[in-house]
Amino acid sequence: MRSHLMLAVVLGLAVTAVLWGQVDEYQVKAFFLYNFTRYVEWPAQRFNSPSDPIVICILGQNPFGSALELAVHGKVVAGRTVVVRRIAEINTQCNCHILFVGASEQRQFRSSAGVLRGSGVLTVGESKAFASDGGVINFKLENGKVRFEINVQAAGQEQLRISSKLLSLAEIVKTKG
Amino acid sequence: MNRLGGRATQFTSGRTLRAGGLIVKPVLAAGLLVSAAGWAQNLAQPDLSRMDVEDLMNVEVTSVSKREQKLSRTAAAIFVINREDIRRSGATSIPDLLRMVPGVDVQQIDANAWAISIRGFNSRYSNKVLVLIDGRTVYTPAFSGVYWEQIDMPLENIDRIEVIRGPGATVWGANAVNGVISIFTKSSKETRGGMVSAAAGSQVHGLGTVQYGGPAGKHGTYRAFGNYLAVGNSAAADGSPADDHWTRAHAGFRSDWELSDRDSLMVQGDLFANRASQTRRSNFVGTPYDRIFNQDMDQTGGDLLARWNHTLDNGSQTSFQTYFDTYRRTDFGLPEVLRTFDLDFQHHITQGDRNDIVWGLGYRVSNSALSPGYFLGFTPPSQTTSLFSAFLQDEIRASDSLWVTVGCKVEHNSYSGLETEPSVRLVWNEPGSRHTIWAAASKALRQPARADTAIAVDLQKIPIGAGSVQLMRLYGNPRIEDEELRDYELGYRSEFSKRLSFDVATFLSFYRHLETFEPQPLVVSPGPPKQFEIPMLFDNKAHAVSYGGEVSLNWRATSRWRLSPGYSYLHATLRQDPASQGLAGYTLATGFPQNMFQIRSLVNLPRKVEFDQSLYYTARLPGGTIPGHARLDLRLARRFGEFTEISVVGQNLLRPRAAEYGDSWGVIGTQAVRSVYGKITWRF
Repeated sequence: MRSHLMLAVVLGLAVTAVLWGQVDEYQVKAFFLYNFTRYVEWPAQRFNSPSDPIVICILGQNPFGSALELAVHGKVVAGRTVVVRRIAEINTQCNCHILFVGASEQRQFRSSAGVLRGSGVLTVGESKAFASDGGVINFKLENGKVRFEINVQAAGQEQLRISSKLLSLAEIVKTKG
Repeated sequence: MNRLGGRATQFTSGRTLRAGGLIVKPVLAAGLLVSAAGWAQNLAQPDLSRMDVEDLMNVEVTSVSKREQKLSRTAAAIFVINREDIRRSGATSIPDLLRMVPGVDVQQIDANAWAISIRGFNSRYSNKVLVLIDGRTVYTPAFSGVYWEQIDMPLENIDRIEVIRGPGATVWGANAVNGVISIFTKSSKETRGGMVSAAAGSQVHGLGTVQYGGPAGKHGTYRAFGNYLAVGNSAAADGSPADDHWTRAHAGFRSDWELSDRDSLMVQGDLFANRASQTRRSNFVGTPYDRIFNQDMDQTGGDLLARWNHTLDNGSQTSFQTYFDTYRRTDFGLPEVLRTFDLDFQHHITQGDRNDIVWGLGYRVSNSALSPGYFLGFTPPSQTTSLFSAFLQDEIRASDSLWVTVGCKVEHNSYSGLETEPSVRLVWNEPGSRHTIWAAASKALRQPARADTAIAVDLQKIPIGAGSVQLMRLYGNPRIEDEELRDYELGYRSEFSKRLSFDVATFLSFYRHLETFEPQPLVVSPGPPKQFEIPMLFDNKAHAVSYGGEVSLNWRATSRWRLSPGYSYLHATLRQDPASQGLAGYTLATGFPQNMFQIRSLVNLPRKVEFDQSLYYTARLPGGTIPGHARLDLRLARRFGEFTEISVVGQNLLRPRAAEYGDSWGVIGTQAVRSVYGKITWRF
């Protein structure tokens, strides 16, 4: 009987938990992606009309759940809505403005990143070598906080104009080799 | 060596829970908790949508490691214990940490000995689970199994523990039959600065760690630590204090170097000295005539490991590792010494976007020595054996959704010669889908240990009449073969949402050539005392079929509360071949519970207070000697700033004492006692 009493106490205490505080990594990354649409300018030929949406693509595995859809829902950036799309593999037909490459897809990115080169896509990754492999922006975690690197050389190749504000917050890296 | 890297949570089919009240209550209570949690969800989360980039950069996030993402593609029953799990477990030893893995059976024999196994065959010398620390095997090839009390370390330094249930022989080689437990320590890059921790309580009398880490040269970092543990007596069967207290002193270091963009080097080493007390019976196979006595055991040892990782021009990665490991222990009053030297090379190649290939070569030489004693000895007393191995594994992307992994390990060992351990694994995961189905077929082997080939030990000695004794003596068999497993697994896992994940793994296992002790013709030697000896010889005359599964659920009920229930089921039938007249040496059925259930709850209260609960239920052991038992551990902790943490932990709280395993190989089982300790950790 004593054990049941103990259990009741434990569970009772558990219920009293009030919540605030930590947030899932990908909720935060989702809002970063949305913010990138505000601080990056794509080459004019990437849009057919002034009302064309900005397309954020998730390659392969989706680590966001529905967080990215929620983050961009109802948002308008310079007169454009933001939409999320999932793609299975990298190709030039997908018409993405931002391509998010999760850690699980880094291998695919490395082997087929060349396909995209020069097509004006802001590639965003989260793997150690992403930016030095030619990706434009790379997320990293430092002390439980999200930070990012920007490969300005890659951004230039893609004719992306990244605002000085974003650049000032980022760690600047170069393509290796 | 962590090719199956990933993180899963498991749960299974099997039978309905045979509920003692203890099981039903927590399930009901958990249900209540679940409904109560609803209201609390999403309260007081920061509003990210109003935040600009600078603000977002200051949000603290909970992170699932990179490794976890690959989980969806892992075709094995894998569970990862991460840093948070470790910190919040309240555990003071590696065995206690492993309790949280559904399907891993952890039972304390006495305060310094454990029986730990996966999917059956549990005993003090569980010999079908391979255990590695940073790629160094700690499975002893002398008596087989793991001396858990010799591998303890400051738990703060562990990065993660990956537990794979089921065979992993294709990559890890022999003895990875029923599972692989891989412990990875943190890089010294992550442990810069100082740490002092101290704990004291009713069972853990003292636990202290002093550690400091910093830069080593321009491109490297190091850490060095000293650690001391003193554990008090548990309780004997009649409730009086047992004599099984022990102490451990351990010093170690790790250094990591980025030699260039392409090269990294890791070097680490340990030295330890244990002193433990144990109560034994004079016969391994118990009789009413047994003498019960206490013995002191001394264990000392050390290891030194270096690993060099290099990235080649074509982007493929190589890893070269070497280590030396030694221990000396006096069990049964006899000094046993083991020395191991190991070389390991691996090459990882990504071939196009369809093939991911790993191959490797290994060489290990070990020397095992046991001074001959009155009732136990090895013939010859000292022997050096070598092991050569090579493996190749290719993970093939057959389509966007289907990955096929095929591989094989070839090994040559001094006892059973050349052997192969192939496997085929399939994973089905559509891009963007939350559901993964996997299946695997594999073969794994347990190589003979030196004891199986070279031992001579008195199992039982019974006085019969005046001046004569009957003796049952077990002899090693130089022609002993590998024990073999053919295993079929099917699993499913799903991330229903970022908050809820679910994992089921099922298995069907066929074992052949399991070890038995076969009686030989009676030998009579004239005394005094006149001796009637029944020689027993190791042989491979048993087989077994087992099936079962493990299920687990990981639910972030709210941003402050995580619940992880797990359940495992095992049904096993052990049969001796018609030609066998002996004892099945290592018991499959009697050492392992049919049902195990657990639930863990981690709660973040305001003001940086953490309140964590773990409840474990282990059903009656099939032999019937140990009844079903439950264990409750609680931890209450508060962090002060970033650098100080104070915690109070209660272990085994449900009853004043409870037997978990019983006797094993002559060691008298004791009862784990209810205990409390307080701990303070300070980093600077």
